[in-house]
Formats: sequence, structure tokens, C-alpha cells
Amino acid sequence: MAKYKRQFFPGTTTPAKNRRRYLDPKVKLKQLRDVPMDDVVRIMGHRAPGEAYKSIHPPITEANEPACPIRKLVTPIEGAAAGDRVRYIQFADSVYFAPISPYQRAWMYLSRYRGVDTGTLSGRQIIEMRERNLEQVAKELIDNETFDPALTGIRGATVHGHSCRLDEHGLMFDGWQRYLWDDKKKEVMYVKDQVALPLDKKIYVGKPASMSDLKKRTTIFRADGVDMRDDKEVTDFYLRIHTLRTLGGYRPFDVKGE
Amino acid sequence: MSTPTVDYANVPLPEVRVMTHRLLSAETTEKILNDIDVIHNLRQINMSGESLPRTINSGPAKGLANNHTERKVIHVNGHEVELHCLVGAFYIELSVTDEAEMDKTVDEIKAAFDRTIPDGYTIDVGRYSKYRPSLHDYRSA
Amino acid sequence: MPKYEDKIDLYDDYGKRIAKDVPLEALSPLRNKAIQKIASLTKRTIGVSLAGIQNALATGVIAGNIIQGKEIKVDLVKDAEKLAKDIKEMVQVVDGDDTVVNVIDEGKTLVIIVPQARTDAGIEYTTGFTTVAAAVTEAIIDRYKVPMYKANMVKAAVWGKYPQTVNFVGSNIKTILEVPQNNEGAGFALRNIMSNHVVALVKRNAMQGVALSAIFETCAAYEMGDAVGPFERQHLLSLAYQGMNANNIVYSLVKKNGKTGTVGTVIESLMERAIADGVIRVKEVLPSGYKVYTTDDLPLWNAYAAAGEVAAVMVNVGAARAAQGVPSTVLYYNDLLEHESGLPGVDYGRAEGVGVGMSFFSHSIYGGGGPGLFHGNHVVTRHAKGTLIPAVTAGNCLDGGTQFFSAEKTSGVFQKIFGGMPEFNTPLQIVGAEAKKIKNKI
Repeated sequence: MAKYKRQFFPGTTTPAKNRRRYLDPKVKLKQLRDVPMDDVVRIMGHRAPGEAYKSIHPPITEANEPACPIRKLVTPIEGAAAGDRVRYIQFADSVYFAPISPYQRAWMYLSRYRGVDTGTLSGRQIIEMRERNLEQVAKELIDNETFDPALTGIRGATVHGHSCRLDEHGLMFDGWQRYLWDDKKKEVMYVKDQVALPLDKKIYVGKPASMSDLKKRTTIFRADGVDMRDDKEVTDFYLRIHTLRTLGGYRPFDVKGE
Repeated sequence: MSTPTVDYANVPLPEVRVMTHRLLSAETTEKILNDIDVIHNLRQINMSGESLPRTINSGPAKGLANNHTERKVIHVNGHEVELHCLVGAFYIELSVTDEAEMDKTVDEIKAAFDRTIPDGYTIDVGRYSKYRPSLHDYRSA
Repeated sequence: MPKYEDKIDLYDDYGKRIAKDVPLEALSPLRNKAIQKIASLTKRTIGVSLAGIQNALATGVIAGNIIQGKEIKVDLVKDAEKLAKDIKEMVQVVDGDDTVVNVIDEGKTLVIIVPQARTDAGIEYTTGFTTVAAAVTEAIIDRYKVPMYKANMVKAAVWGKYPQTVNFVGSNIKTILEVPQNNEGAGFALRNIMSNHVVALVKRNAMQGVALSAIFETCAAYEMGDAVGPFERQHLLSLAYQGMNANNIVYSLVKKNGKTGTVGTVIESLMERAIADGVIRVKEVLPSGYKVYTTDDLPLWNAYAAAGEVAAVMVNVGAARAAQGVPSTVLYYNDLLEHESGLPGVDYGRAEGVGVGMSFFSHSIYGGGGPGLFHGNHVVTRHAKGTLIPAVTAGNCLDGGTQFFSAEKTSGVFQKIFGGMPEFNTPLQIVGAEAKKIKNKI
């Protein structure tokens, strides 16, 4: 069997190329900041830093698993083996050229991580995992280039803001103001956790990127950026899938070489 | 239907709509309001934007004070105005009698926004809010 | 002569070959006697909770209500053997026929299989339930000489609230099938089996769970009128490749990706396999280098995609040992596969669509239950016929104890009732052996 190389996504434009980059697990995403793990834990708010992980079931061992050959083949992730609770982190991504949009997050998560449950809504994206694995993933996602301090929000509830105009500092709107602009340091700092419980310390997540930089990094097609209709490969692809789904739904056996 | 109490009720006076490119801080909102408040022929100014709740309204932090820095009282021409939102739109009703007067007033409004709003805005003249009751106002509960 | 040229090799849950060069039709519910037996036993196998009836009679708590003053103190559990004999006499048609009445659980439960003559003499699958319910009611009234004015308590303790309700609410007679009135449409009976029931029947063996769910769904496809004429082959292909581990695709995909793989790497392996097997080929290369794939056999591609879907669930949900990720895995697996290949996902987009709705309905955002409570009869799942529920069952089998609605909790009783039936515990082996037996007779 010839080795197959994944191609991820069609298209010649910048957003299309960026989508391929984010999706490809072989690409190591750039780390733009280093938010301490304890602070990531604080922002998520599921446990206090240093507190032991709570468990939902006894640790998984070979001895206590049901007789199932698939369980022998599929190694549980660390948190599953330990019986951790399933916890979440949720990101809201602004339509104003955020580095990534919710839907591509889902693709990226399932391309890069194992043991993931994820859900996409219009402006937000939740990822649920066993707690200790979630913490590692959350730190990666806050530290790397898919996160922008101004245009990506960490919001567990009341995420409204992704489609709102930005504020005067260029931050995405948040009615609960979980993060503030520090005008002296020119950085964004979190003052509340993802469900707006006050944090006992300010957590800095760095300087926002410039709009010109973000337009190069984003996966978002926009009429005032790169219009999806200007990428013929992408529009043709979606028309093709639409056609084939329709034909397949009618008489699949008649579809040959389409 | 009761008789209108004032003679301009039910009259579609022209309205200026200003949408700012950015949502404005309380400070900027105060500044622009004071800037346009001095213009003659303005009957009323309405603002809208993104709501800022007084307390956290859902989730585990429900009931805690929101402490949003932009939810506060601003001062416009000596009056206190309590902001409930991050303002992004102004609806300014003009009390003018002819087009020349209207154009002059709109130009003054533009000049004020040019001075105060560096991030830009769009301005339109028309009628954007209701000036007389409609069926909707008579529906039961 | 077989109708279709397709030949497959069948493999068991450990990736061991059971049969070689089996014609596709050997897996048809219309030809394979083992599948027919599964369908038959599904409607004929009934559990009776004697302990439940005894408790209901003793306390007057029946079908959710309390009726005081008409309590009946009888020791049904102690008399289980005697009652079993009484019941058998009523249920069987002739001595020594295929009627089975077994006492299990130290008398707390009876497992009854009604004779085929009864189901053959009628046209509705509720025969199993009604026959047993009536026989149990009568046996209790007879043996304990229950007076006329208390006999209605026995009826309600056995049948439940029916006929005040459409189904048998509060009944102590257990069947994995729902009443026909609760089916979404014609032929949905075998789709109306909760995924957790299947999980219990196969004792959490994921490959066997996938097989059993696929068998139920495929039988239903015939009953719904979906697998008739030119559409039949597609259903048999998905049963074979997704459900019955044909050509060992599912097992080898999981084996390759189980340790460190993701949904993405399962797609990579599947594409590799589909190209190597000649199912898909490059149609054109676009300026970006993106290859658009095409196929001359869309139903076969669909079966490959369906096999990959199950493998993706096994890898991702298996790694989490948490069933909640099933709908999102189904959704994004299909979406990623479409973007990878330029070909439609499982059931031509329907599985992906179902993934969206099921994500919503199976998470607490809707206040709903977990994926274990789902079946093919649900308003959001019924559209992807045949290919969705096996993946759901795979995920539920692999849960490590995170679900509030676990199979042990919702369906433990069926594990006891169907415990000793290889048709339900190891369908891969049983159906595979039958396919091997008939492969030259097709």
C-alpha cells in the first residue's frame, strides 16, 4: 500500500493555506506566549492549582476492563486511565479576522488530539476532555498562534461578542468583561475566569497582533479580506460536495466517475 | 386613540443615524454627547449598543456584581446619564423646518464626530425609529 | 448465481479470518439463517421480573401509582420453578416445541422464548410480549387463587398501565422492542432498540456491538423498504464493511491508529486503503496540488467511509473512554473525510447531519440523556439509515464509566436475559459461520 499523504483542504488563497497548516498535525504551531499552567488552570476554574484531580470512575487497568479486543488496541489517554472527570474550555473567536474560527477549531482538534469531544456553535467552540489532558491542550491553545489576546475569548458561558464591533482598544466585546486592556503594558489581562468568577490575580495573556498580521494568519474568508468566491478551488469543492450528496441521496448506484 | 399632547407627535421628523466603527468607551461616549449636545435643532438623542448587565446573569457566577468598567454614570451638559451599554449607535432626531436647516445641522453633527471618533463611523439621514403608534403598540400582553 | 459480484472475507472481533470469498448476499437477512434467528429471537425473547411483580403486589405500588388495601402477599420468587412450569404449559403450542422458560437470578427473573408457531400465526411482533404477559397474569391468579376483586392488581403489576397508556408503562415484562405505536415510521421496529441495550447484549465488546447494531439496522432497512432493488447492494455493503468487519478493514484501521492515532490519522489510513483497493482514484489535480478523488462505485465508497466512521469512533472515543464524543466524532470525521477526498461522507452527508443534531440532543445543553439512550428511531438519528447507530454503539461500548445513563443502569436486565445466547453475544462469529456455510449455495 502506497503511503498516503493527507491534503486536508483545497484552495490557493491565504485562508485556505492557513486552514491546511492548522489541520496538519505534522506542523508544529508557533508558540507566541507562555501562560503558566497554574494560570491556565485558574482561567478554566475547574480546580484550584495544585488541587488533586477528582475522578468519576476508578482508574482503568487491563484487569478491570471488559473483554473487548478494541480496548486492547486503543490506549486510553492519561486522564481516562486515571478516571478523571470530563471538563471543558470554550473559545469565542471574533469575526474580525481572528486567527481561527470555531469550525476550523473542531477540524484541528480532531486532527491533532485524541480523546476529544468538541462542539461548534456560531461564535464559539467547546472542547471537552479528561481534565489533565484538557489542561495540556488548553495551555497549547492559549499559547500558540491560534489564540489572539484581543480577538479570542476564553468564555464558558455568555459568549456573546464574536460578531460585535470591537471596542476602542480593538478587543472583542464581552458583556462580562473577563479581560481588560492594560494601557501601560499594552497587554490583555484576565481578571475573571471563563464563567466570570473573579480571579484572585491578574493573568496576562500578551499583546494583540496587528490587523495586517492577523489578515495573513486567519482562516476566515471575508468579503473585506479574502472572499471565498475568489478561491475557485474552494467554491468548486463545496459545489461538488453538494452535488454529490444530492446525487448519492437519489440513486447512488448511478453515480460513476463524477 | 387619545389626542396627541404635543403638536409634533405623529410627525416623521428627520433622524440622523450614526454607527461607529468601534464600540465606544464611557469616556468617549461622554465626550461625543457633550460635543453634539450644543448643536441647535436637536430634539432627542437615543443611543444603543451592546448590553452591559449590572450583575452576572447566568452560570456559576450568577448574581455577582459585574463591575464592568464602562457601565457607569456619565455627565452630559450637567445631567447624569447612566450607561447600560457599550454604545455603538446614535439616533439623533432633528427638529428642523426645511432642508437647508437640516443639512446645516447634519454638517455640525459630522464635524463633532470627526473631532471625537478617531476610529470612524457611518452617518445616514432618514427615519429609523417609530414616531407614531402602530398595531404593535396595541397588542395585549 | 449470486445477484452481486462482490466477494468479501469475513473477520472476527480479534481480526481472525472466519470465511474467505463470501458472496455479499450471504449476509443478506433474506438468506442468512443466523440473522433471521437474531430477528426472530429479538421478538420472541421476553424477560419477566418475578421479584418486581412480587414487590408491586406486596406494596400496591403499580405502574407509578399506589393502590392501598388491595395488596397481595405472595412469594413468586420462591415459587419461580412452579410458576415457570405453569407458564410454559400456557405458552407452548405442543410439548417439546421450541418454547423456552428458564428461571435465572435465583428465581427473581424468568427468561421466556415464545414458540415460533405463535409469531408465525400472527403478523405483529408484540405477540411475544402479550403472550407472556397474559400467561404470567393467569399463572399468578391460578396458583394463588387471587379473588376476582384483586385480580386487576395482578394484571397491572404484570402489564403495567396499558391500555390507559400507549406503551406498557410500569410493566414487569421486559422486551428490547418498543410497541409499534412508538415507531417513527413503517419498518422501524428493529431501529427502536436503545444503543445501551445492544451494549448490554454484547457485554461491552465494541466490535460485536457494531455488528449487532448493524444487523438490526440492516434488517430494518429491508422492512422500511430501503433495501429493495438497486438499493439493496448498498445496505449489504455497509453491513459487511462497517458491521461485519469485512476484509478486516475496521479492525486494521483501529489497530494501526489505536495507540497514538486521531480521527485524522484514521482518515489517512482509510484513504490509503481505499486507493490501494481501487475504490477511489484521482480525477484531477487542482493548481494548489489538491487531488479531487472520484469513484465508479459510490455505494462501495460509502461502505468504506462507514467502516472508517466506526474506526474513528473507536480510536477517538476509545482513547477518551467517554461515550459523549460519539456525535462530534461522527460529524467531524465525515466532514474531514469530505474535505480530504472530495467525495461525500457516510450516507451522502446524512451521517454528518445527524452528528450535528445528535451533538445537541446528547449533551446537557438540551438537558437530555447521553448517547446510550439513542437508537435509530430518534427524530435526529433516523435519517442516516444503517450507518449511524453502529458507530454510536461502538462509542457506548468503550465508555469507561462516565455516563449517567450507563448500559448497566438502563439495560442490565437484558444482559441477564440474553446472557446465554451466542447470536446476541457474538454475532460476528455466528453470522459469519452461517455465511461461510451458505457461500457456495448462493
